[in-house]
Amino acid sequence: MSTIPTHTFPLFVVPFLIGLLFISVWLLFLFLKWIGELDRNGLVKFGQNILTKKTLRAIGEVFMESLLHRKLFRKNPLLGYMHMCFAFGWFMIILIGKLEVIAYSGKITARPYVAIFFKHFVSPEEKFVRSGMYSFLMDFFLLMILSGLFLAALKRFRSKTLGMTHTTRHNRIDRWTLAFLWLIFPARFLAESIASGSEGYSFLTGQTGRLLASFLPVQQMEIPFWWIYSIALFGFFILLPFSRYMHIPTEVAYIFLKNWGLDKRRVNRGFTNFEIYSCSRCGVCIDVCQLKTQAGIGTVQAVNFTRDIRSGSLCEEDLKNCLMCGRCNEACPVGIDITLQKQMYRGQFARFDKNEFTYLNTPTPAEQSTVVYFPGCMSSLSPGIEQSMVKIMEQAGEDFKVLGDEQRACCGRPMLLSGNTEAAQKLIAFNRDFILSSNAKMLVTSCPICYKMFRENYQLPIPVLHHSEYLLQLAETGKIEMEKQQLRMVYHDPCDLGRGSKIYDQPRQLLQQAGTLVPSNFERENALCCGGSLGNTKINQASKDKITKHLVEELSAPNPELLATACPVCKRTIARHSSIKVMDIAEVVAENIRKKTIQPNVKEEFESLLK
Amino acid sequence: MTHSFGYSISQSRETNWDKLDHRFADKLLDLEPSVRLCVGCGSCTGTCTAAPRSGFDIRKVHTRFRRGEAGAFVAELEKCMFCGKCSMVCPRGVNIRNVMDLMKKLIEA
Amino acid sequence: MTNKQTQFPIAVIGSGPAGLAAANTLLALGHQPVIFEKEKITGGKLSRWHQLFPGFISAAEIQEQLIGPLKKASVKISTETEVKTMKPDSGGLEIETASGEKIIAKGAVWASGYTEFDARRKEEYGYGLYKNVLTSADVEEMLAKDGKLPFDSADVKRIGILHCVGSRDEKVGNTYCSKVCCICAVKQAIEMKKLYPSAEVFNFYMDLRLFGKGYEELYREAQMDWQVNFIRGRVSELAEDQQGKIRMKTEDTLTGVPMKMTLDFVILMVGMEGKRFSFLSENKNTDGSDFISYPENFTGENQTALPNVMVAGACKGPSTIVDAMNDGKSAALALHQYLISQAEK
Ligand SMILES: Cc1cc2nc3c(=O)[nH]c(=O)nc-3n(C[C@H](O)[C@H](O)[C@H](O)COP(=O)(O)OP(=O)(O)OC[C@H]3O[C@@H](n4cnc5c(N)ncnc54)[C@H](O)[C@@H]3O)c2cc1C
Ligand code: SF4
Ligand code: SF4
Ligand code: SF4
Ligand code: SF4
Ligand code: SF4
Repeated sequence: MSTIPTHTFPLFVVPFLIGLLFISVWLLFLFLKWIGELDRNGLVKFGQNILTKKTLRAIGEVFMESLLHRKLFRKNPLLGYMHMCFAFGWFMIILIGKLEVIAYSGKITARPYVAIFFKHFVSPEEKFVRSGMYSFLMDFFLLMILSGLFLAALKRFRSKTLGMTHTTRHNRIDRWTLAFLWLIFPARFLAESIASGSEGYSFLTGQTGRLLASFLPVQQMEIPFWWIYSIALFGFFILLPFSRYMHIPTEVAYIFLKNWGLDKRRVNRGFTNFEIYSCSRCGVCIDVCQLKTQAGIGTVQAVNFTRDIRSGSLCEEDLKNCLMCGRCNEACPVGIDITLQKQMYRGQFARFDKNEFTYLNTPTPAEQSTVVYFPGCMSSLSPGIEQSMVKIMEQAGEDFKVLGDEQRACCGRPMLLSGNTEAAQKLIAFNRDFILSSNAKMLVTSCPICYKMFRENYQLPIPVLHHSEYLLQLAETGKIEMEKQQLRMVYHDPCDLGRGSKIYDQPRQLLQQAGTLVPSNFERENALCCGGSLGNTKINQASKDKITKHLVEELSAPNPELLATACPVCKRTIARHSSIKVMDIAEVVAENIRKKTIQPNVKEEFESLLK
Repeated sequence: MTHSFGYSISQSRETNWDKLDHRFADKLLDLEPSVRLCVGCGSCTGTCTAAPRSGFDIRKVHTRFRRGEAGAFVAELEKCMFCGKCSMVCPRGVNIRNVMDLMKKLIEA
Repeated sequence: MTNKQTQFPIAVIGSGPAGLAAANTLLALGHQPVIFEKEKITGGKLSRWHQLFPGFISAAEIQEQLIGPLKKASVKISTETEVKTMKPDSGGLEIETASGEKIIAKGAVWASGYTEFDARRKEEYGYGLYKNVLTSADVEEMLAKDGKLPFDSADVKRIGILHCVGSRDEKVGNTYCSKVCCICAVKQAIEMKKLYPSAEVFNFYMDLRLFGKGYEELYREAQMDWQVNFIRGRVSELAEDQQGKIRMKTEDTLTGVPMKMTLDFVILMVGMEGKRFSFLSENKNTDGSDFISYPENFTGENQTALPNVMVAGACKGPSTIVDAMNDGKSAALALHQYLISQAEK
């Protein structure tokens, strides 16, 4: 075979070139449009950070996540490997291909298609600097991709092999895109093998080429196979923006925006798009969702949500049927904040009236104290928590006041979760004034829902503590002491306290002082939702019960004497189905607090009297 | 002397079943069937976070909605804080927050 | 563990009104009943209650009437003997007690009764937390014991009585009505007026279910002669203020406005809960309760999975004392018929 000059223009490169042009223009247009939709704050961040080392960090993350799929690897090694084969393998083929052309021609300006169809232009006999190494590497990465392809095929047909009970279904465009994607590398492999004929490039294409040449008229087959390869690329590029595979370019852009510090906490259309389109539809979020695994509700998971948005078919019933437990956030290898996205999208269906809460005028000023304790709406249905807190704070000699439930309003988080940001804002403003009118130095709450809300949405000038943090502080400063009991306890992490606010250790340290903690199968980030979530307005009682019963089974498995939790909603929900006693952490502390018989100052007085 | 029964709007003097428009109510019962289980016990109103300050009576609102008096309560619906206590105490397992949400939606439509 | 194989003719499990009535009937039919009672004292709830609705007859008196004839016939009552399980035996029935003792009997009447709903499970009422919240059972026991409650009558201005605590409530898992607590609440309201004549008494209810003979009359009497207030609204929460008074929240559903009230003390009308015994019936109740299920076919209402064991009383579902006693008699008769038919074969 002879070498064809690289400035010639074989017709089969045309589909590839059209495809490449289309996808480049399309992506550029779309991304610019989304960036245009960013709010002012987003744009400012964008401009400020683009030329800082945050960009380098983003590049690093792209490499680790988009190419190597590190997070996915950790979640599911086989699946991670599969994705890595495609992403990293392809990337290396493009990179090394480019270097190979440069090495060959000595110029960087070669036409874009030369690298792609290199083996059409350069015959195996022709040697150039390190040509052997290049062909070896090209073959190696091709093999890598092909092995990933094999696993992908396996996943399609037998998803259990890859440790997944549920996978996502493809629509028609997805299927076509996938078909083209799967065609690309086998076609390239055959085209290169055939091009190598009996001479051979390297171990893979060379050997196969020799084998094929031994019984096939390879000379006539080369051009048709290049055509197939080129058309496969064309098809893939044209369909990609309309398929689930749009996540590949979007995720890269998303990582950059994320690293430039764009704020997710705001309703930020442009950024939301980047996030939604970054979903690879890997389906990892399906198996972690209790609505699916326990209640058999399969239309509401993160993957369905992103799909429905992309296809413009988001339905209110599904959107509102979510516990907002955040288990999928924790699992998603792309790091999409699903619950926040859902919250924002729920806003589309929220009905806000400006007359909302006209009866909430200025609050009556709260009584003055150093610590204000906000039990929360739900705590009034579980009065043992408040009573225990009062008992403990009295014993610790704290200067505190309880914010009565007739003076305050709801913290606003249920309203916020329902998507009605404006209405929530009114509740925030009212409560904020009320809390601050006490001139307190610290706000303590028993409800993880309120806690998350205070921390993230109230912008309070004073520290906000969940009672588990506060009680631990009291214990650590010696203001209270506990009697350690022979008590086996399992602790249940409430969603908004654990995953939602990353408070995992404080409750455990506290409980450790009152008894022995035994682990359950679902701890910390992996904790289950109790099912009582206020984030879900659609779920019926029967489905809730299924979720709770499963949780109770899991918590009871290590045979504890007590189930401890740190949330009034969890407590009530769990207690409904549990034969083992359920207590809030404040009640556990109050029950085991060591009575100080003689207060220090009384003791001193007493001693001075004796003298 | 004026009496306030917790409503600023005037109430109709009788429920004339023949004249009322039951489409909204039927739709509500269709979308959230659990509301059929209501026995009118008043626990939801009793526990309601919005009730003490605003006189908001969720039981009455959803009962009258079911009677076909949908339009009369638009202003009332805005008082709910969505806190979820009502659903938490209802002895009949009515998903009251969804009833609330659907009433708003149906009235708007 | 003893293994003495004592031949006992017929076992009666439970010495409540149902069990005692059954034993009396068996005795009258010529059988030799032996009663097993897991508690120290006999009489079931009769031994704890004060005066019974609707006629304010003393519970102790009724108990005496039921036990008297048994004592005279020296019917054996083994107290502190809990029956664990029963299975068919060549001699009829093998009964095993909690201590491992095995007894052979020809047949048995099972009348294990009910347990009161643990009011602590209804957290928002603060039972066990607030010292001024009692249950209806507490009130009966206190009155039976000293004829009074631990509240000074000068301090008591308002008393609240809450119906349906632990009954008709999906949130505690009991959807059924406990049947006797409405009339019991009316009775206790009158008793409260007798104890605290200057106090106001309020009954908070969802529905008043006063079905029995004389019950409606007692309701009228409570309204007219004792000025008891009936407010239609199920209480949603109770809170305790600094003086230990109880702040109550509900809706006055008849006027349609939220209602709050400060009460000096509160009585929770606790419902009844059953217990499942798999050897008596594998079937679940349609209402999801744990009471012993039985064939609800009018004629076989005392039958169990074991042909020579009949079931009676409140272990089958909420019942009044009269109902429990009649059911005990009916069970005794059904067992008698069965044993006769077997002997004829
Ligand atoms: C507060 C209150 C007040 C009431 N007042 C009245 C009233 O005024 N008038 C009225 O008609 N009704 C009244 N009732 C209802 C009444 O208590 C019941 O109808 C009656 O007790 C039912 O009788 P029983 O024999 O079926 O069950 P119980 O009275 O419960 O007796 C069952 C007995 O069986 C024993 N037992 C259980 N398991 C075992 C076992 N495995 N082995 C051995 N023994 C066992 C128990 O210890 C108990 O002694 C009242 C109920 C309540 C809650
Ligand atoms: S949301 Fe995350 S976990 Fe779910 S399919 Fe998309 S990328 Fe995967
Ligand atoms: S937040 Fe929880 S309930 Fe909602 S989709 Fe994710 S895992 Fe499922
Ligand atoms: S609490 Fe439930 S049953 Fe009672 S009035 Fe409200 S909706 Fe109806
Ligand atoms: S959700 Fe609305 S109606 Fe229900 S208790 Fe809260 S404020 Fe009242
Ligand atoms: S008898 Fe009355 S108080 Fe008792 S459960 Fe039935 S309705 Fe409620």
